[in-house]
Amino acid sequence: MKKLLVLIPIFLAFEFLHSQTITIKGTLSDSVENKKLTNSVISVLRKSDSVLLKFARADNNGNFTVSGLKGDSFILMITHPYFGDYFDNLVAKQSTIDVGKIFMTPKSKLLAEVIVRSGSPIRIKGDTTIYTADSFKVRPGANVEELLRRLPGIQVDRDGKITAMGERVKKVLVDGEEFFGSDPGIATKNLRADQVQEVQVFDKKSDQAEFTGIDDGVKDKTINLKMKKMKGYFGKVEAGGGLPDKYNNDAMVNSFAGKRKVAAYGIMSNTGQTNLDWQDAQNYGGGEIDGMTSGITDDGGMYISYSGGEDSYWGGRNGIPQNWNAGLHYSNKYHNDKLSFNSGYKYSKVNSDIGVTTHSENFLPDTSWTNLSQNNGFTSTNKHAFNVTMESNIDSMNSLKWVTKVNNNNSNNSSHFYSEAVSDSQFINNSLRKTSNNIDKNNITTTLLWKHKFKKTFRTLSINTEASWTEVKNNGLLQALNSYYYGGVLNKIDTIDQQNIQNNHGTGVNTRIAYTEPIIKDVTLQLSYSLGYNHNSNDRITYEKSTAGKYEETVDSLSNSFVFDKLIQTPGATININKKKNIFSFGINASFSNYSQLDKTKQTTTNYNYHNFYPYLNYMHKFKSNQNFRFNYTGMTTPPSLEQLQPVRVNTDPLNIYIGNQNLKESFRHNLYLNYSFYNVLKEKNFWSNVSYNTTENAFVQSSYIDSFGKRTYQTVNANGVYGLSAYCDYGFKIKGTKFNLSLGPSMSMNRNIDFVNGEKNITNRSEYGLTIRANRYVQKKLDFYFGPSISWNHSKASVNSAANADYWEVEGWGNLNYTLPKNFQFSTDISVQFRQKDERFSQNMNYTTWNASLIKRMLKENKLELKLEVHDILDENRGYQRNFASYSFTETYYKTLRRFWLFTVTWNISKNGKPASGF
Amino acid sequence: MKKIFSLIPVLFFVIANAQQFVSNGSIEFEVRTNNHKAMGEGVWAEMFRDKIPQFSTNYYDFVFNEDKAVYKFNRSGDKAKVPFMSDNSENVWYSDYSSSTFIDQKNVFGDMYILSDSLMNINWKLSPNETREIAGFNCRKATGIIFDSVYVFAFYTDEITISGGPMGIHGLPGMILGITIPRMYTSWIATKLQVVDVDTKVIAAPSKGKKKKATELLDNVKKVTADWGSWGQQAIWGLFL
Repeated sequence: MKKLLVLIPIFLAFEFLHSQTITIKGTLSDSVENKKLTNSVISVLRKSDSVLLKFARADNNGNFTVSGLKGDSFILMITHPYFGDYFDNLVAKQSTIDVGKIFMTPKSKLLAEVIVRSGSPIRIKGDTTIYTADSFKVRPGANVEELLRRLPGIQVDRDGKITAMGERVKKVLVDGEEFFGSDPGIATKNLRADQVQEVQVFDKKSDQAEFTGIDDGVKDKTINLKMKKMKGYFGKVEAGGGLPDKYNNDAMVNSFAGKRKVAAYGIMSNTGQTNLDWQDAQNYGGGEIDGMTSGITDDGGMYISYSGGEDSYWGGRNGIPQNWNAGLHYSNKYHNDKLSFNSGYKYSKVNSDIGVTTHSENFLPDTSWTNLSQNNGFTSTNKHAFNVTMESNIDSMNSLKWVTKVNNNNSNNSSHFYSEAVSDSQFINNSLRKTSNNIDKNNITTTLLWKHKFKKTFRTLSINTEASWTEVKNNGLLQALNSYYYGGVLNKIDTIDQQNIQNNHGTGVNTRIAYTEPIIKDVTLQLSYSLGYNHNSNDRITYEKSTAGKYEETVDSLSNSFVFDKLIQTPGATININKKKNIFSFGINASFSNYSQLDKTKQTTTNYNYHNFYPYLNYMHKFKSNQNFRFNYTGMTTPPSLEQLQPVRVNTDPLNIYIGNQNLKESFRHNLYLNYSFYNVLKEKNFWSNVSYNTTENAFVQSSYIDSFGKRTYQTVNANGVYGLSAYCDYGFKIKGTKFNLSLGPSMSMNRNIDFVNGEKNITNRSEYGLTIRANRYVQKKLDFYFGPSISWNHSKASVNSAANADYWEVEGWGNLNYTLPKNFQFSTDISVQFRQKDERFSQNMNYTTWNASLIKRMLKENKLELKLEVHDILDENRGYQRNFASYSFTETYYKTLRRFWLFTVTWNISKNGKPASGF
Repeated sequence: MKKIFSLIPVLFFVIANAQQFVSNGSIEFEVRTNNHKAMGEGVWAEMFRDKIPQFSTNYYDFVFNEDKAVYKFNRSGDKAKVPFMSDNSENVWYSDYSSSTFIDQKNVFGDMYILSDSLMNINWKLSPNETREIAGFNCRKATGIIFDSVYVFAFYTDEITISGGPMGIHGLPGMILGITIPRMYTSWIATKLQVVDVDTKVIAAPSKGKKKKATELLDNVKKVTADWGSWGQQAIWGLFL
């Protein structure tokens, strides 16, 4: 008990020190003039880690009090702009520490005592000392600070403060540029030592002196870290094989050193991978994706548009492909990135088996018939494409860009075609045709763009000139047997055995000048003028097989030679008003074109002159940055094409013959577009909607005459009353209490088309009402789920005959699931379904589900090795199928397409100092 | 010799003048962001890198009296609008350093909010011997951590008496004139100080927007951006600084 009583006061004393906070007080005085130091900062730091605990400023008499301090060991730091810093270590023994009177020393006195030492330079170039980084060994992964410590003449203290040749280093530059505000510590702590090639130490004149050229004597000791050019590579080798007879192999590599990039790839496949996918195109194809353009809009938005390039992914209608691709890409930048060079070459060869079967039912007021056709063929296409781009930013006012593209396409096609037309179980006609073509196409396009900025902001001038040359040669053979029946009895037989040789040449030059002038604040005027000239010559000679068995007898009616000249001038003016909430632009382009067509066979010249106008208006209102409304109107004149006015006569398909119409007028199309959208990130809701409407005056429509043999002659004529209207909206939200996002999208479209059948006007009204429901869930690096079924009701009604009318329901949907499993396994599956309401007029219902799945296992360090097992079209139901309701007929088409196969792929990823970009 | 004599009165004038501490005025900050780094490394970023200038520069004003300040957008130094950049032009940061509270007006994904709360408490580690001159002031370096793990490098001067800084960054014995946050690829550096002709009436709490407690909104934003990856983090840092 006694012991306990003794302990209590000790405990209390201990508690007193720790629960009570500490106060430090004192008075400051000038050591020379004994003046009071108002506003000096008294900072109290924790001794263990220099963390600032409290601070205060001295009052008018130099007195200070810092209270509420916790702990017991402090650093007292007193600073004043014109006095030397004062530091003291304090240990709390009582609740108040009185430091008494502290004398501060003016800085002028301190400076005199600084001693300048000189270091030992390694290499001296002018007034710069250069250290070669690799000569100083540091541990792997060390930062620049550790490297600097090893350099003679340079000291780095515990706080990261750098002293070089006895002077404080004020700036650390990286490749001559400030690294986040030139704070020395940030660069030296964040950069790796092994990335540094040289450390250069010099005295940098003040920015003011560099700018004015007048030396103000102020010099900062500066370190410049010259970085090594990053060298490395990444790539992959994939080998895939499967049943039946499937393979998909590729190899890709991208090697870089600084700004220089060399990339190469090769693919061989018969699984539909006919080109690089977009991700690989970015990493190994030089970033150019066929048909894809991207850019930045005036209001800071980004856009990517994809129009499906020529080499785009296999559509499933072009048969079963077998392909070989290769590409090489080189790019580099010179003169501090002012000049860039970019060049690439691509080769592809695609062989494809094609099979297309069509069935159509045709109805005229007094008759109806069935058409069946079967086309089997083989195409082989070889493409070479070379491009080079050079861009130079000559100075801040001028830039030049030169692009040249050279393409060579050669394709060999052969096909066997059979068609028959049957009415009341009697033949009307049938046709057997064998064709083969060898088409060789060469094209060179070169453009030069000069952009000039003026001193006045937003005043710009640009001149773009494009020149192109195209040559197309075709050597074709046509053998056909066409039979025509009358009352079920064979009436007439045509046989054709011909060779046709075509030679087309085209050259064109087009120059466009655009000038932008700021009129008043937020308003600019853009004026433009373009002048284009095209010269084309088309020659076609058809030979009939002679009795000697050679193609040597010229068929005059199918041989011709034309020369076209086209001159187009297009002036235009646009006004842009760019306010914070309202963006408005309107303008008009006019085009004055002059065509001249010389028929060399007949020695006749025909001239056509067209004046076309393209008005447009754009308006956008931003309610808030997450809510906006757009309105857009464009008007467009389209002149008839020469093909529509006076087609070159061909006899490839004697049952469908196209003839010209010299009386065609220009058509004028109005397009209206309205859009409203908003999103709310916090409430996880979004909505967008749009309505578009178009109507055409003097629209180009088809007029067909069908004779009793089922032979159709058609031409283009003008008609009014063609329009289209479509509207859709989408509302997306998160389902409460779950992690699923759901969106609902009702849509509708209405189209009115016109055509003429045997002189009778036919109006076809089509409409579609649909609803799309999409559900998705995304968990980063774990799960990606999407399912989006849509249901629609389709309606088609023709005025000429009700037999081709249709009303049916359709359900389509696509879904996928990506799931990351433990042990580096990843499972992916996707499914697409198509169901159509049964139509008694069609032989089959054609509902099908395409289901694919794959399992990936990644292994070894950095997932170097990837094993993938995939099954394509598990249910073996994939079909190429299309259903179409036209004015007086309906058609269904079946395409030969890829079916079920499985594939096992081994991928080996290689990399050094780099990795391919992926995802977002 | 004549020159030296004429210099002496000038020197005296400078010293006499410099003894004055600044307790109110307006400071212009130049805010620079490295767009190419901020975009990240995905395929889309690669596609757009060449189309976007490497740096974005914006100017903000910090207007202050003895213990209160307003920080807001002044103008952009960019020639064209840059994607990815959130619109901060209507944001206002009002801080009362005496009561350690703030009332901010912020554009949060398109909607205006009035956010209020206590100013964040930053543990600053001082490096008193590292100094740098910013806008003519001798500044000392301090290192702090915000949002649990984001390093902030700050330079402050004790010649300006307010313990403030751009946005909600504060707590040093003087005014912060320079900040670098490497993970946001952004630096804030004072370019000039104006003491006379400053309209101090602008130092007032903003009022345009839905009122909300900042911590509540932060929880909400954290929940929504949970699956955004690094984008979500950048969004949070940008919104709640």
